[in-house]
Amino acid sequence: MKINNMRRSPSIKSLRILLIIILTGFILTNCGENPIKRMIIFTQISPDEISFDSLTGGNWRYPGKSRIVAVDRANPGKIYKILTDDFYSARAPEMSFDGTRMLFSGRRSEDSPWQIYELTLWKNKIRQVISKTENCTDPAYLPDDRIVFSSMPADEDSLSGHVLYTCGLDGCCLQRITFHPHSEFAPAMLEDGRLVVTSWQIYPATGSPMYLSYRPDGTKEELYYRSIHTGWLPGKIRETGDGQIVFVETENSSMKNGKLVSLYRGRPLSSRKELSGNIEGSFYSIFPGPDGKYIVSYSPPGENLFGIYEFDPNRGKLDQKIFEDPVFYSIDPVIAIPRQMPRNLPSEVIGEKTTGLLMCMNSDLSDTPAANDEKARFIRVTGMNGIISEIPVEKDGSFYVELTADSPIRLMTLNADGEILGGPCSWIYMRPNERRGCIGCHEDPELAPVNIVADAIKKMPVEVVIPASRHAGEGSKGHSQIDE
Amino acid sequence: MNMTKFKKIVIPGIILTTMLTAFFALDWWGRRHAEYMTGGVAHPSNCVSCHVYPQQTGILSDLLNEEYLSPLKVAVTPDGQKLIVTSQEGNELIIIDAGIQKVIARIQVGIRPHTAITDGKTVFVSNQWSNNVSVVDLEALKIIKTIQVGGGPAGLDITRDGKTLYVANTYTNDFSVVDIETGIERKRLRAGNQPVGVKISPDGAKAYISNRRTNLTTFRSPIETEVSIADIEFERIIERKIIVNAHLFENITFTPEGDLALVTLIKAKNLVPAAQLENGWMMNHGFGVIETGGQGRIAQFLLDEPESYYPDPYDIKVTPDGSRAFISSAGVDIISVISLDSIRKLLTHATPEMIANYEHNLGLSSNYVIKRIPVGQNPKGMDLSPDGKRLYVAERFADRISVIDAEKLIVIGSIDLGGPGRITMIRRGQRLFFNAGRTFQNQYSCSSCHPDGGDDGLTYDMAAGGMARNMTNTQTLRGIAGSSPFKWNGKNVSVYMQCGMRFSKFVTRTEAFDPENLDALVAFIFRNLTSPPNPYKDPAGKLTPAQERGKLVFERTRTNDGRVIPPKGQCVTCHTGPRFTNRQLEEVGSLSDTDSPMLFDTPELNYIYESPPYLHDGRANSLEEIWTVYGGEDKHGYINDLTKMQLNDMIEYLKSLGDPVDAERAENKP
Repeated sequence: MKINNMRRSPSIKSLRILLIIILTGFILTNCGENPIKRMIIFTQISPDEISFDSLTGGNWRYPGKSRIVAVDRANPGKIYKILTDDFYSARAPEMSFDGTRMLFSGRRSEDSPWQIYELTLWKNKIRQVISKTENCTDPAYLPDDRIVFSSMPADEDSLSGHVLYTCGLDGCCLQRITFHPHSEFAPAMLEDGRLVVTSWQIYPATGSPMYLSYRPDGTKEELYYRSIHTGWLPGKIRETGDGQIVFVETENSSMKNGKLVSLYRGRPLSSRKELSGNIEGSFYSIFPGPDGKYIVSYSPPGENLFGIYEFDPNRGKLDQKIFEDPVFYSIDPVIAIPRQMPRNLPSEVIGEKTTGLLMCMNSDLSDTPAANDEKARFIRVTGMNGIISEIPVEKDGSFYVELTADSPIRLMTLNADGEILGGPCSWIYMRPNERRGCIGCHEDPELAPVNIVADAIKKMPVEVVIPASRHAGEGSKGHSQIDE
Repeated sequence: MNMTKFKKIVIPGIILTTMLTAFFALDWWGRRHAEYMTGGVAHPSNCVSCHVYPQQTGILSDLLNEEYLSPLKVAVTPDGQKLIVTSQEGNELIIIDAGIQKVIARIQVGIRPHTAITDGKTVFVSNQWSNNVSVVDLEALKIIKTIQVGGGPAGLDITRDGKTLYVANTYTNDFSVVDIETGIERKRLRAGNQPVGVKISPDGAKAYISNRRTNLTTFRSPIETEVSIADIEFERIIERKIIVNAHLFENITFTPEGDLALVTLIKAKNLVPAAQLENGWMMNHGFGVIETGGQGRIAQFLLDEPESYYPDPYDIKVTPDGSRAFISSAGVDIISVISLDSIRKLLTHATPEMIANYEHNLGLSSNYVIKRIPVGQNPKGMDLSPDGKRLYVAERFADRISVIDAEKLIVIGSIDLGGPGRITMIRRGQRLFFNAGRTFQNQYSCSSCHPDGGDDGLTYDMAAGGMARNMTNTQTLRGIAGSSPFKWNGKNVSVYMQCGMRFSKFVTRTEAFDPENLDALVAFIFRNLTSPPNPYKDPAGKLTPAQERGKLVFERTRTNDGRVIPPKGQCVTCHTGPRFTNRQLEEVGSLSDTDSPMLFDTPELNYIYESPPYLHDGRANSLEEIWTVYGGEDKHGYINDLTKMQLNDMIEYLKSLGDPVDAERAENKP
């Protein structure tokens, strides 16, 4: 018996050890689970703090006092946790594609600039992603362990508002990707791999806001949406699982009269639909939930507070109120859930190159054709500081230019006497090694090109060097330079 | 240390060290090899995926692979009781009871059956790789007759009197007029380039034949593809309708009134620099509308939207009331439902300028596309029940037939054809090859430019090295295993490199294939993409007298006046071996002003007949033009002393290269 007991003891001991290991593993595994999983995370902001400024972002993008909190949808009405306790101010939460991490913009103290931070939800650990002298805001994840965000360029001379930057999640490889005199905020990823940002021209005059799309290297800039109601676009677009793009559009640069709007993904320029219909009050931001409903920031009529609500797009009605604070606005909600990883688009940018190629198939093709159907004979290239060059147009209306990269230009069509027929077009720029084509000037953006060989590409491109300095007329190579 | 200890410690130690060294050395070499073959992309050094899966024969190949059915076309009997399905890879005809939605019979037919057509008693099946049509008794469920037709029979239709069968012969560019009673081909008429679809007009007076490839046009000019129209009474071609800037007209049909003929098409933008994919700069997909009366106007409409594309339209069917058409978009697994009333409205009072705008307007489809119905992998042929209430769709790579309620426009059922349940690596690669999901906004699939794995006969401006420079004639992917390097300039040492990151950057403009999918895709290309039987070669492999004479010219070492031709000027120096290529880069005087300086990979010559135009930029419309128009300096072979007859003979010989129907294919091997 004794021998038997002695033999049994080690087995029992082993079993105990095994049990302890299993239990420890179980506890550790559960400790590691994201407690914020499926919770709604949003920004709380003092109502008197918000004022719009398209150039600097103003209190709209850099509020004096704000914080990011989490609310359990199953336990509405109560804050589960304040996620940015250590920050003087924080806003703009954006979830990683696996739903475990969160980027946000924040400032540690009243004196420090707004920088980009990342919070690992299950560890509750925050780390700074970038360190830049200028304020940075509106971060979003890119699919290749990089991020995109909005910031003022370091170059004070650049006549630009906020532009987009990308960098690695470790802050490396900081790159500016947009270069025109626009101010751009709220970048969001489409599943096809492109970025869509709120953008408006700031030079020579302030334009109305629109959504522009880019590839994440800043190439292939396209108009994505422009409100026919000259609406204000206060936040990010969001893509739903059923092929819709949703966002909020307000009537003017305020938080009032915000409407929920959807676009059909296949035809964003011509499919605007108002989702909030006759609901009075104002919407400010929107995020698609996993159950087909949307989480919205909404202020009922007559109230001066934005709370977090559920919105049913099928019925076009608000459902339950999830959270409302008597003191703070609750805006910019996101949900800590995994979502579709966007496509990781390859980049055509080659850093060593200094130019890009632009080809237009027919500059006479326009929604606003010239009087008497007069044909364009020259294209005037205008830079930030005046006219740079005038280049000839081929008989079929085509032209083909090699442009200095990362330098904004506008184009005008001229007749044989040098008189302006059309334009200027919106600001455009080419990234290094970018190749772009357009079928006309201010043409219907839903037209595909006709399958022909344009005369212009039968020759080498006309080289147009855009001066780097602010002084007009510098640096054009072999082509006419005319001071404005 | 005694001997025992030595044996116990040192010898195993030496063995272990040797094994570890060998393992790490092999691992190191494997990684370097994988990196080299895939162009430096981080690709796992998995020997099996590259060296076993692509094998076409052998025990391993048999174990790893399955024989799928791949339904291509479906036909409903006039009473609506049965569905007749052609199984393209199973080489059989599958009969389904439409009521219980079960397979009730399988009949082995010829190789690669394409289309089935039935009057309820008899089924005619075109066997595309057997060059014949099987006549099947639907009651007895057996073949009662086999009719020999031209090369690559595809589309079929029967005249209203039930006496004559029209057959489109894809590989011989003609169509057969067959007397059904005698089973004899009465006439063979010239069609366009690769005829594939046939439909007789509702009044029974005309047959419309759709063609896949463009007619030969001058270099760098818009493509022109033909719809050939034959008069039924006189059995002759009466008109060749040219649809400009469109090709791959897979199938054609009519409205019940017969006022419109509708044909699926692809609009390749091969003349436009591929500067971008945004805004449909590379390819659009849609359908053509031909007015059969009046001015005979031709309009093209797109299925695409500005940011969403519906590539590889294949079949088109019109409801009995003529209000709707269904089009299968094989590249995105979608059936688009078209309002023909809306199409008619757009055509009424449309000026030529408006019609010209329709074919480029990506926003217009929201006017006439009523619904997009998602179905299973690679929807191809379709047919409507006689009452128009059910639409049956052949889901080629799902081995199923989906059943759609044609009024509610929802999928209401799916008929399993009994294919293998397992999805093999090759099948996955096949699905990837024919699916556009790996292109920016689903704009095109591999097969959009390489239909059936071959080539589309077009030269593209890929904007490499600048716009309108380095034009690229699409090359076939059939039979390319073991023929590295790839690309005209031989830049890619493997297809893994060709279809990897470079492909993503310059062609698909979206995320590259992950290694697993890349392996599957390449394995499919290597194992399954083979050429159809060569119609220019005798089935027994015997050369004609002209081909025999041409062979002597091809292999000659002396000029007509007896001088020795230096090796560089002899055809067989570069075009040697079973593939007729030395796989080396050569200069043959074909470099043009728009090309960057480069040498060209010697192309193989098997099945060269099927891939005009020729040369790297497609400037030679025919084999003959390579030497008569572009061979003036004798750099591409010593040729200028040849007589016209000798050149003709040599071209006859070149066309004969590549096998006729071979035994392996006859045994259902892919």
